[in-house]
Amino acid sequence: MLRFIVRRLLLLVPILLGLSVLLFAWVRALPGGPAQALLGERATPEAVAAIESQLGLDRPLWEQYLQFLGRAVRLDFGASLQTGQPVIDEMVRRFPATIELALAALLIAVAVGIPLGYLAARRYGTWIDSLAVTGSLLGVTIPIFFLAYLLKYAFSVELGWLPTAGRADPRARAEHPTGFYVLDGIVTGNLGASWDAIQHLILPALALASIPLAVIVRITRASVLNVVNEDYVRTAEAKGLLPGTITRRHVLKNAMLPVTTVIGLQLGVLLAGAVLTETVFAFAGVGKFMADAIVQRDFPTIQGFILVIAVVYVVINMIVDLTYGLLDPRVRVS
Amino acid sequence: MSLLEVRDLSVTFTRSGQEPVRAVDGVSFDVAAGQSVGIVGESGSGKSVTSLAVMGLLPSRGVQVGGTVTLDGNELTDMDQRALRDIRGRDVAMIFQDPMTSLNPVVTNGRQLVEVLTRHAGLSKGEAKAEAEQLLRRVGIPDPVRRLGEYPHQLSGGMRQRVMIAIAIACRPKLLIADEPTTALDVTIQAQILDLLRTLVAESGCGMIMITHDLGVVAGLCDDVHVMYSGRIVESAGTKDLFARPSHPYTDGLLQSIPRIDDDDPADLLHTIPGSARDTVAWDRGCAFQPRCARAVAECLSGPPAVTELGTPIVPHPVRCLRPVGQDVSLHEGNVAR
Repeated sequence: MLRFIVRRLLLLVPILLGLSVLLFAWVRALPGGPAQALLGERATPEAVAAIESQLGLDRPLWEQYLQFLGRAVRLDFGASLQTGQPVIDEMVRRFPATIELALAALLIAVAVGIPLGYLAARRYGTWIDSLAVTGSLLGVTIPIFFLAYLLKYAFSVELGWLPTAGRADPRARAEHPTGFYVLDGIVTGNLGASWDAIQHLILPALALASIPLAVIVRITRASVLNVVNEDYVRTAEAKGLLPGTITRRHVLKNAMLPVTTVIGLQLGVLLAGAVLTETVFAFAGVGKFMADAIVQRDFPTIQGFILVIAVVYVVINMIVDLTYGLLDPRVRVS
Repeated sequence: MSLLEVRDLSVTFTRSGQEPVRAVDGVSFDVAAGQSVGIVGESGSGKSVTSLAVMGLLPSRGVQVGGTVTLDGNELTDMDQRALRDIRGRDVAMIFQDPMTSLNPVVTNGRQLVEVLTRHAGLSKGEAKAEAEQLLRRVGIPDPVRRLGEYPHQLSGGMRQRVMIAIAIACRPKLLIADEPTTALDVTIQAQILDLLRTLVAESGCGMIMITHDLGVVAGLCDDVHVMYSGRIVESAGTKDLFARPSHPYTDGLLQSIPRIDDDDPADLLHTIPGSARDTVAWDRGCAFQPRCARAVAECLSGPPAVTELGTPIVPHPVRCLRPVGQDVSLHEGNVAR
């Protein structure tokens, strides 16, 4: 088990090295180079030269790369060009918001997707099934930002049920020791603040959940359809087991194997989707910060963001593989 | 009264837009307690569907079941699924063909055995565990305590089939249905499994239906045999009688297809029945075996063939054939004497 984890973590090294080369090359490939990109199109050659020497851009490429790598290893991605603060500090401050949002979206996707997929499979060929299939097709096709604006318009602007933007009511006074607003309310005994945070979470989480929800519905449905035709389910029927036992122990336990993998992979999609959702809802997470960074050509932030997301992605995949081993004894590492 | 009475059982599969398919047609047979009955036929002959119909395991959608199945005086075909669930696993149990796929891969062997005990035998989990250990020992699995905690993939095919058998006999069923229990196993393991089944049936006194395409299995295990072809029983007899006096041309062909080690004639190395089971005729129009039958005459295609009784009221031997083997000038020298 431990060896497996270590091996997977070691696998991170080549992935991150490759990624660092790509990121390094990308910034150098910007028209006019990074200095020009920083200063804008009308910068004087003198200013560009000054910045280049200040940032070490006049050194040989390999030296620049090693320097970049050396800093990246120490999580030093330089200062954000938007705020002047170290990129890593900005990200650490904003990550709780994004994680909170992603978890809320995942919760919706799993809590709705698995039962719906199961129901569609058991009512195969009926209107419930057709509805689930069509709905999930819509879910993967509809662009997140479009759905986000739609939700915002319907539930915030027209109906006024939920707040339009932000993570919390700006007039509210609340302390944020952890940065996870819902948790903060509970920790500080301010349940009103938690409720406020949840209300702010609902719409962005719904928008963000659309793709994972659709994918989970489809995979669960397909997987359950497969499993109910397996010989061991017939064996369970032949044993006269109660329908509930058959469903839980013999159908769902097997059908959940592919679903688990998909849930893990969808976490990556959630992080990418957060960029769009957070922007539409002015939700102050890393996604919004990243979107702003792209507009502002804040390349240290973009580099840092991409590297951190890559690490998160690989670690999530590792966790998925480990859970897979827990669920399926056949792949358990001995 | 027999333990199991199957009367005029028919199973029809219907699909919208397609001709209904009658997989089992007018099948009747009995199984007495302590008796082993073989149902022999090739793929598609309806033998497995017959067993699923007895278990009430056919899907409710797109399937029509006719006739009656009576177990110990209880009419099963009238029961709803709720009542059937109480009977399945307790009074009737089934062993399936492929032990590789018939056990749940993500549940321990122990749990798959314990769950049937707690469901039907009213045992607590602890009692069921102790009982499960005894059962594994009974079906010849060494180190049962360790095996209970393991998963099916950690066992060999033969061991898995032993677990399946342990599950089937767990609640001391009155009737055991074995659907090709040895087909997926190595030859050496096949003999062991058949031995085990023979012992268990003898010890428990339950009735057994052995579904197989292998006449060798029948020879060593069954008291009575029914030969199925294209959904109907074409010949029924006591096992010894059937082997001594195969009367339906199909049965005769099957027996001749068994290679004999003492056969020296190189021209006759392996006998086969010409054609395939797909070359068939609807029973309403004539004998389904007619297209493959060397003895066929024109009358074979004039309506469903009548059943000829070749045995006695006490030792019956009915054959669904107009020209049973050995009843006229036979093609087979060996049968002419009769």
